[in-house]
Amino acid sequence: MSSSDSDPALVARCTAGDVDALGDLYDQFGGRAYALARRITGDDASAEAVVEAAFLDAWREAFSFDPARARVSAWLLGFVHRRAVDAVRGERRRTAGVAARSGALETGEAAAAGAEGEAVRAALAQLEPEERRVLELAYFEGYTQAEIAELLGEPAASVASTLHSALMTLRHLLGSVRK
Amino acid sequence: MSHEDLPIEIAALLSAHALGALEPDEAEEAERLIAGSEACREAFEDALETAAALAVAMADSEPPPDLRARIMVAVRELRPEDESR
Repeated sequence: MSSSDSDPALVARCTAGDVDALGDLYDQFGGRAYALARRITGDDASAEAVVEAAFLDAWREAFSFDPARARVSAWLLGFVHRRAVDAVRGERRRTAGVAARSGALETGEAAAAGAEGEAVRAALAQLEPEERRVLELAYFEGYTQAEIAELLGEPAASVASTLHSALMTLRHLLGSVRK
Repeated sequence: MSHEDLPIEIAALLSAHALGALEPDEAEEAERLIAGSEACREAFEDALETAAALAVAMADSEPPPDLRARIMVAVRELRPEDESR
């Protein structure tokens, strides 16, 4: 578990214009941010640009952080995810490439050691293979539901339903360990 | 009303939005729902937190050593008026 009592205070200091607080957030979450960005973009240089843009997003949006609604880790990595998905979609439009890379969720490679990584790994193992597949394509490969439907040759409504049930199962399984 | 009671199509749209998996027009619709309904906002935030668990639980990768300094320079350039603090 990476979040601590001081994380929300760091975000509050960002709101007040304290640049060092952003540095502290980077020290705490930069490694995970870079791992996520690299996982999604598949490219070191793109990942660096994504992480830089995401930390600047967090700086600008610090006022919108509500500790009652989200953990700092989830909030911050949300910016990284959005920037990385934007980057990979832009790249895909340029190259018209639609081939999916190998699935980290299939192998458990995506999850770290440690209690939270273990909990996520265990929860993923309980998903149907089809649920893991669409979750992977959406979250880590940056495909939209419509694109996944095209890739898998399935109706969009069925992809939407599989994606939703995958997320709800995860929420149920992880909810019990989070609080 | 609890967000557990949302119609399944709405709940699924919000889940997909939390995963960043909507086309732009669908994402706009999801944003409208979130802005207009407390239950939708709660469902979206729950889904967002769950989606982020996938990232939060990832193993760290060592970023390039100069990335931190580049970010610090960039953020100071955003707020030049604060440099005199």
